[in-house]
Amino acid sequence: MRPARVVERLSAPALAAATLALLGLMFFYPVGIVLVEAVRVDGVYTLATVAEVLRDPFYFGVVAQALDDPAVIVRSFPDYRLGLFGFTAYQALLSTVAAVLLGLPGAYVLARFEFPGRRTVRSLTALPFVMPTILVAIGFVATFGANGVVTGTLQTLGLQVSSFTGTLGIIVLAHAFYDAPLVARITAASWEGIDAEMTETARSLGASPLRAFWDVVIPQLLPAILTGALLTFIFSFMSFAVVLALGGLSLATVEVWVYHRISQLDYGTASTLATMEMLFSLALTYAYLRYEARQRATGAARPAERVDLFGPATKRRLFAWGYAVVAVVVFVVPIVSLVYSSVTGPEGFTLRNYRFLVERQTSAYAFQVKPLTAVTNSLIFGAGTLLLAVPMGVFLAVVSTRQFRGRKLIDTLSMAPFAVSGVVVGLGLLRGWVFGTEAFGYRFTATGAVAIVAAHAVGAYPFVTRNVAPALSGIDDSVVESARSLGASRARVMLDIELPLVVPAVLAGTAFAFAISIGEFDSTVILATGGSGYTMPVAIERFIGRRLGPATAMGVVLLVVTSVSFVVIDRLGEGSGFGG
Amino acid sequence: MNRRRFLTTVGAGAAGLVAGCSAEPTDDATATEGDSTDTPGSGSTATDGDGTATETADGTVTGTASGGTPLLRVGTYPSFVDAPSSSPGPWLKERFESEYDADLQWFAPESSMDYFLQRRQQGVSIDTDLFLGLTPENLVKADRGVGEGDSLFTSVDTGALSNADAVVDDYRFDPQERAIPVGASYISLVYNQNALDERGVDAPETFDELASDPYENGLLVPNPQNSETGLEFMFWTIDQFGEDGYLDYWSELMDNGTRVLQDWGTAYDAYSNDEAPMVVSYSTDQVYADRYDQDMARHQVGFLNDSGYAYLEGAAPFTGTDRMGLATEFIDFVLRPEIQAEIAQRNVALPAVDNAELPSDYYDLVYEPEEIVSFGYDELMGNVEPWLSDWSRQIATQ
Repeated sequence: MRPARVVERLSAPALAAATLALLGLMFFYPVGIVLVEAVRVDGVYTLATVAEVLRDPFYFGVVAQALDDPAVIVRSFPDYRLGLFGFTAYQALLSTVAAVLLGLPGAYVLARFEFPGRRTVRSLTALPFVMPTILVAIGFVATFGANGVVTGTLQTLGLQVSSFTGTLGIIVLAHAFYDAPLVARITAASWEGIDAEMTETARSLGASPLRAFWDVVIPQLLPAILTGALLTFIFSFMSFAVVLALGGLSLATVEVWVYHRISQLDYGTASTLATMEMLFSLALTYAYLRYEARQRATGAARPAERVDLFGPATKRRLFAWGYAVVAVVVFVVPIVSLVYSSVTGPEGFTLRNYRFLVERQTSAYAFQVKPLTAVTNSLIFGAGTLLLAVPMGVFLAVVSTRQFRGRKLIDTLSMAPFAVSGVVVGLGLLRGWVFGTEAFGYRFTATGAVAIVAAHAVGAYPFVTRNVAPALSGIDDSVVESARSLGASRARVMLDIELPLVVPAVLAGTAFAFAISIGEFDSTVILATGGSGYTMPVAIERFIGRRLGPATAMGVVLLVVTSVSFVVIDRLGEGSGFGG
Repeated sequence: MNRRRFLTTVGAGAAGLVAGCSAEPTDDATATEGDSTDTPGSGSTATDGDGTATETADGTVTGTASGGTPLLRVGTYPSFVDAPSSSPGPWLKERFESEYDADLQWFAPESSMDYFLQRRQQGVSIDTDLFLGLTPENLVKADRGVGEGDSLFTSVDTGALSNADAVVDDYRFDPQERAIPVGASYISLVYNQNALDERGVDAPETFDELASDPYENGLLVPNPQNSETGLEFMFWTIDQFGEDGYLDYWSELMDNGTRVLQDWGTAYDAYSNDEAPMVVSYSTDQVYADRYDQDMARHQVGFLNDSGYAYLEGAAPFTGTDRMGLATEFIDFVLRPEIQAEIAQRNVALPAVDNAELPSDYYDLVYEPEEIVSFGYDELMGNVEPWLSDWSRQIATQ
C-alpha cells in the first residue's frame, strides 16, 4: 500500500481520537466536575439532592405534588401548578411557536424573492444572535416600553396600552427576535433546494397553489423547520438574562435558579437543576434526531426561479411586503432605537458616547477595559472558535451520516453543549483549567483566553454539525458509489466530492458558530478575569453606568464589527477554493 | 483560501492555543501562599500585559516589582477601578505609589469577592494581598464558604491605623475587625417627581404607602439574587417587618405591580426610560444628575419610614498574604481623612470616617436618613441564605 493510502486510512480514526480528546478536555471533564456535585454531598455519593428537587412542587409543580398525593391530579384539574420547570417549558413552547411563525415567512421571502441586497440581508440574519441581552432590552424598551415607538403608535390609534414590558408576551417576542432569524435562515437554505419540477407537476395535475404548497413544499421543509424549532426551544428553555431584563423575577426560568443557587454556593441544587435541564433538552434532541434520520433530503435538480419583489401587486408580493413591515417592527426598530440612543442624550444629538470610547482607548489604564482591545479579542476568539469548531462540527456531521449502532446516541451527545447552562461551562473551565488540575505530579493550567476559546468552540460546533449533517445525508449515494468504484478511498471521496457539495451548509454553520463566539457572555465573563480576555459583550457590560450611553455606543461598535464579519464570511465562502 | 494556506493557518492557530496551556510540577503549588514562585493563572496578570488575548501562558507574578519595590496586590469589584463615569481606582493607585515605596496592582474580577472564594474552595493560591470593597454579606458568605474555624480574611491590627477611631460606629460591621469600613452610601428610593405629579401624589413616605394603590406599577427593584442594592433593600424590609412579616409585605408589593429586574443597571435604565416612576437605588443619585445637567425632578431621593439602609464597604487582608505590613499601611492610608474624602467623591458615596472634609455643596446633593439601618455580621450570619431563598421562592412561584 502506498504511504499516502496509509495516511488516508488512518486519518479518520486519528480525527476521531482528536475530536474525542478535545471534547473530553474542553467539555466533558470541566462540566463533569461541576455536575457531579448533583450527586455528591460532602464527598459522599447520594441521590438525596435529586430526590429533594424532584419532590419539590416549586420546581415540578403538580408532578411533584402528585408524588405525595396522586389525588391532586383530579382535584386541581385543570388548574395545575406548573412549577419552575413547567413554566420554563411553557414559555419556551410559546417562544418556539412565535419564532417559527415569524421565521417561516422570512424564509419564504429570502428563498423565493429577488431584491437588491438580498444576500446581505441573508448574511445579517445572524445579527440578532450576537446582541447582548442588555442591548436587546434597551431596543425593546424603546420599541415596546412605556415610551416606546409601538406603544405610542397604538395609543394614537386609540388603543388602551401602557407598556408591554413585564409581561410574558414581551419575553416570548424577545426570544423570537433572537431565534426567528435562525429558523428563517435554516429553512431558506432548504427551500432553495426544492426542485421546481415537483411543484409544477402537482400544479399540472390540478392542485391549487396553496394545495401544492402544503402537499409538496411543506413536507420537504419540515426537517429544516423542526431543526430551527428544536434549537429555538432549547435556547428559550435555557434563557436567563432576557427574562430578568424585560420580564422580571416573577417570570423566572430554571436557568435563573441555576445562577441563583450557584451564587449562593449551593452547587448541589444548581448542578441538579442544570443536569435536569440538560437531560430534558437532550431527550428532545434524541427524539428529533430519530425523526430526522427517517427523512432523506433530495438534491435540487432545478430550484424555482426567484420572483422580483418589486412589481405589480400580486397576492404573494402583498404577503411579502406585509411581512417586511412586521420584520421592520420586530427586528429593525429595536436595533435602530439602539443606534439612535447611542447618539442622543438629554441635550439632544451628541457624539459624547463615541468620544467616551475614543478617550477610553487612548487614556485608559492597563487595568481598565479598552474598546479596541475588546474588538480584537472578540475577533481573535471568534477565529480561534472557528478553527476548532468547524473541523470538529464537520467531522461529527460525517460520523452522524454513517450507519452504525448507537449512532443517534453519539449524535445526541454531540449536541450536549447546547443543553448545558453557560454558567456551568464557565465554572467548570474556571475550576478545571484556569485554576488548574493536578495529575501525574503536575498541575495543568490554561490561560483564561484559551479557556474562553474552548468554551466558545464547544458552544459553537453543534451548529456546524446540525447544518452539515442533513446536507451530507442528502448527497446522492450513486455519486459516492461511482467514485469508490473508480478506486477513490473513502477519505478521498469525502474530501474531493462530498465536502465540496455541502459548502453552503458548512458556511451557514460557520456564520452561526462565529455568532455564538461573538455573542457569548455567560462563560466569557467568568473566564475573562483580570485585565485580559474581555470581549465586546463584556466591555458593554463594563460600560453600563448610571447613563447607558457609553454601553450603547459600544453596542453599535459590536453591531458594525459583526455585520462586516458576517458579510465577509459569506462572501469568502462563496468564492472559496472549496467550491460552492 | 487554498487548502495549503488553510492548513498552515490552522496549524499556527492550534500552536497558539497550545501555547496558552502549561504544566508545572505540583511541588510549586504546595509552597506557601504568596511565595514568589507561585504561578497563578491568567487572572493575576491583570496589569502585566495591555490586555490582549495573546498574553503568554506563564503569567508568573513575582513578589517584587522591578527594582525591588514591593508589590501590593489589591482585589476589588470592577466599578471601583473601571466605571464609565469616575472611579477612585486609578487616582488611589497613583497617590499611594507617590507616597509609599511600593507598587499597587489592581485586580478586579467580574465576580468580585466570589472569585477569590472560588479559588480558596478549590485549594488554589489567591495571590492577592487584600480586598477592598467588602460588604457585610460578602464577609458572611466567605465565612460560610470556607467552613468553621477558617477564614478567607485575616484581622487587622487597628492600633496601627491612625484614623481608626474616626470610623462611624454605625458603619462597623465585623466584630473580628478583619474588615475595616472604608466607604458607605444609603439605599433609598429614587423617584420621578414629574411622573408622580401626573398621578397627583407625593413620594411615598412609608413602606405601607409604597405598597398602596396610588403607587401601582410604580416600583422597579434590582434582583436581590444578583445585586447588592436589591439584596440590601430586602434586608431593609426585614428590618421593618421582621423575619415573619417581610414576605407578607413583599406579596403586597408584588400585587401592587412591583417588578424585580436583573440588576441595578437594568432597573435604573428601565426607570430612566419611564417604565416606572420609582426605582431602588442610592441616595447619592443627584451627584450624577448634577454632573450631567439632568432634570432634577427625575432624580428625587426618598427614604421610607425616615430610615435608610447603609451600604457598607470594608477593606480586609487575605489570610496568607506575605505583605501584611504593607496591606495594613494601605488600609491606614485609605482611612486618612483627605483620602476618604477623595474616594467618596470619586465613588459618588460617603466617607466611612467622621473627620473627612468634603466640599460643602457635596452634602446639598447627598441625602442621609434620620435613622440608619444596617445588619451587622451577627445578624447576617446564617440568615442571608434562608432569607433570600424564602423570598426568591415566593416571588418566582408558578
